[in-house]
Amino acid sequence: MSATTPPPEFATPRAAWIAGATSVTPFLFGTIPFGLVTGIATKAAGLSLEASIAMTLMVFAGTAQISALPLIAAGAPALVIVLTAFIVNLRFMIYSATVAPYFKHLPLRWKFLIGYFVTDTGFAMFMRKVADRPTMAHRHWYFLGGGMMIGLVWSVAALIGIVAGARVPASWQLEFAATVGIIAILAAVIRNKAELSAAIIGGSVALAAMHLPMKLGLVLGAVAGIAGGVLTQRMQDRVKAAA
Amino acid sequence: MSGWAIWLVIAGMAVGTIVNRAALIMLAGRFDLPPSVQASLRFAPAAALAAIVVPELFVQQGQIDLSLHNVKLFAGLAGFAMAMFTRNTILSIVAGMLALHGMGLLVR
Repeated sequence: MSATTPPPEFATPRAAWIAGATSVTPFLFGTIPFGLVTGIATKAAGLSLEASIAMTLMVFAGTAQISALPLIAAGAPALVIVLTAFIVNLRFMIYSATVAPYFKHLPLRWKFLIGYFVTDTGFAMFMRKVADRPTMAHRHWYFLGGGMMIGLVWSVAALIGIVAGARVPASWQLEFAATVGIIAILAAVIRNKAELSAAIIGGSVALAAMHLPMKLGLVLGAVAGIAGGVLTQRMQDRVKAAA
Repeated sequence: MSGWAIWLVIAGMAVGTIVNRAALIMLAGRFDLPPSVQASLRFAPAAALAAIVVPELFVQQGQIDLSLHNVKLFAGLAGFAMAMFTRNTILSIVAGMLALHGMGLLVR
């Protein structure tokens, strides 16, 4: 008796796409309110209807968008806003580096499509799926299913938020919802001492450097915070190695 | 922010985001991020989000303001406390907004 290879888990691209889209549905309870808040805060920050919609569909990254809003409202220079959003989104670079080996065989236009739909939740569910089946058939369709489901639901929620936000009086100060949203995400990304020190150093340096021209203190704070996190991690590793 | 500047910001953010998301997938095999760089990128969200939000809360009218009149600071702390306890973004935003308006009424 010879060993037979098991049948592929997904017989068709369609089946893989649907399985991917279904994998993220439990998380949509978080995606919908997050999209709504992003939309409402975008409009409240003073963007026109067209600019709000364009930002939602083109940038397509909630955390970066709500991070940019207080800076836009304060009139920070364009370059600093773009740079800040880039640093906030650097986590996507970790995700794409992690999934890249699974999509090496695809043509470039497919790789671009996969890249466009890199999301926090879609990435997490894909990695869980391929952990013990790295050569799963139609895995790019599975990835796309998760990313597109999250993206579609988030975009629709954000567009509803933009329309709703336009009807809310300014006295409600809904633009502050973006600031508290950033705070909540910050609380979620602080999971250990090294990440805590990255946040403390990032915040303190940004505060100390607040009088630098062009709001550059913000960028300086982010870079210092990253360096602080790396150093803390190294010190911890050294202590562990010595013990 | 003037009309054309906001479009510049949107275009720049869109390009920056797609570079973050797609570049390493498209370059797979030809360029791979060194593991040390990848390890340090892990700290970017915590560092950048704190750098945005700390001045936002502590500085009002160009000055560090720790008094009770800085309603945003205490509303932000309320949101942070709720986030630490519940891990729920929406509850945190609700707590922060309630604190903002509640304290706004008291201080005024």
